[in-house]
Amino acid sequence: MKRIFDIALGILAAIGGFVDIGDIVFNVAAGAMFEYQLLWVVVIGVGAIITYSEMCGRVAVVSQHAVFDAVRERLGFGVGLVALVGAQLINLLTLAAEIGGIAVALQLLAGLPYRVLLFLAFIAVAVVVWALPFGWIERVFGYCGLAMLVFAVAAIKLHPDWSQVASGFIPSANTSDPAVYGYFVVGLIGAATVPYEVYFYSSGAIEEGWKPKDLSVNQSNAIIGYTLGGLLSCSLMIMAGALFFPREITPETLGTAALGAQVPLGEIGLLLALVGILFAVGGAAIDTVFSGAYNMAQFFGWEWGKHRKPVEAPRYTIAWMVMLVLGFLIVFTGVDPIKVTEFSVIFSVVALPLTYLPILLVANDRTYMRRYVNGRLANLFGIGYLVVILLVAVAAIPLMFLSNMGQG
Amino acid sequence: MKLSELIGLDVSTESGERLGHVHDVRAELTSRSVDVKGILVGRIGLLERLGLGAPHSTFRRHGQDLLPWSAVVRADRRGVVVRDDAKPR
Amino acid sequence: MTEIDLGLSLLDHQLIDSEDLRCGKVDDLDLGSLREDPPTVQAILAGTPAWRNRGRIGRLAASLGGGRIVRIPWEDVESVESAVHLKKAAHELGLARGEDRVRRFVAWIPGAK
Repeated sequence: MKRIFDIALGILAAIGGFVDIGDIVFNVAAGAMFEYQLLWVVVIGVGAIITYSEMCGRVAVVSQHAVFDAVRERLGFGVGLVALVGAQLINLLTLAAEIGGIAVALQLLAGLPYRVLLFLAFIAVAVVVWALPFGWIERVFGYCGLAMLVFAVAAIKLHPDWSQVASGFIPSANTSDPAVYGYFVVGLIGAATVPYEVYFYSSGAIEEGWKPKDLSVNQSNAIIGYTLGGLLSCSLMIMAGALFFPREITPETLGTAALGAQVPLGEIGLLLALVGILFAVGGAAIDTVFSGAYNMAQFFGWEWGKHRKPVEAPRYTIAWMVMLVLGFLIVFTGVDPIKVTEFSVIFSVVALPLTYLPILLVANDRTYMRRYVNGRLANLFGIGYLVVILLVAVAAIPLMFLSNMGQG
Repeated sequence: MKLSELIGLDVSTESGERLGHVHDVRAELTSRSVDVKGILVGRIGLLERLGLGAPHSTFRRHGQDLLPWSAVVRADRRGVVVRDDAKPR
Repeated sequence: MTEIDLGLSLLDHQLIDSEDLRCGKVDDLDLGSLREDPPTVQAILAGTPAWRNRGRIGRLAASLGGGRIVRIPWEDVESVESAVHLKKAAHELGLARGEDRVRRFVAWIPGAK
């Protein structure tokens, strides 16, 4: 009985932690622009993150290699260092966007000045990362992030045309602006597969001390949790498609997204939406901070992790602190966090092949993986998604320009 | 010589035929030492560095040759020279 | 008796000391004289200056960093798995000195220990 309870809790934490500011921004904007036509892209994106999270988790547990261990070994020092610098720059952009998102959510909840809230967000993240044990952080932010489920309720209460919704899961492009459509395809896949998720998931598996015998349970948690989290992303798009699309409203801020819960569900809907956004984005900010430090430590061979005391892993500790300060400074300059989000998602996609390829290679290496090496199914999805990611990566920057960042 | 200096060196036969570059060094790991057994020579660099030719890798790459160390005539910063009759495995 | 490819299975792999501490990566290997029959791996080389031979980017990175090259004789290697396990503690071998240099910036904060 306890086992079922544990599994359920794990799944709940995965759902609540799935959505971050990139998912919110792109799913809501996609719904507002294209109604339900891009739902099929969410499915592809979720499939990609499930495939590669499962692989990273397995690689991490069996070989004790997290992502950047694999990157340096497989791509070599030179290319690996370029990948590291690229990954860190993107992590930094993502972090800045998430910190901005926390402040925006707090502003809608509490009404204090934005810059004060940015500083508050920075301090809160620092304290949580320093003081709370790894498992606690994941659970607290995961469970509270479940408030995002209000968007699923809202989507249903808005009475969308469900046959239209269903047809959105079949790829179609009924649009006068293919560049903008393409930009959103890239953005939605990028938002679902943000690299810090795999850096964090693989390091987290080692942090939590998963053993090979725990693999099936933990992987199922992730797979089920991410699938349901993907439904949450779909809810955001459906909500926006039902509410904003007919009125030709372009969501400019997180507040507009929260409106999507207020209109059908009133003040309680708004409150739950804001709390959900706060914890989903807050949790993402923390995961990104960790990821930045994990990547550096794993590339250079430093001791790392929450399973060590700070004095045992000082370079790793300094790394996350520096990362957090820089992220805060970027967004403190006053840049629009929504714009930063869009840039970080698009650039993430460009760098993604360099992240996924080493994982796929190590997952196929019998010396590391023993009998847990990739089977045919894992390779089918792994190679298939790598090709998809490569195509999306190549198209990302051109589409960004052609579509004027989705503005058309 | 360091491994990083050996990898990437030109490999040619005594009579001057270019065979490619050193992609990796095959060795035998014993309880006391690591003894060099041969060099992996090939033309395309990137795939080798990605580990597609390793003994235990699922993707086994063809077109990469293992030259036994006994076939090496000379190895220094200028390159690796092997006997004309060196048989790749 | 196992066959390994040095670049694939040793180079850039994690070093773990006798107390299970991560203490750097294998930045290069010293093969000694190639006139030996056969040549053997004499030592592991670790440290920023060792990146000088790891391509153009390695040279650039080496010039930006400091530190010394640490030479770990092969006799100090316990085993080679996905990481390279060493027989001695990091400090005995001169590894992980970067941690010592920055530890004081972290140690003063409550909860660091």
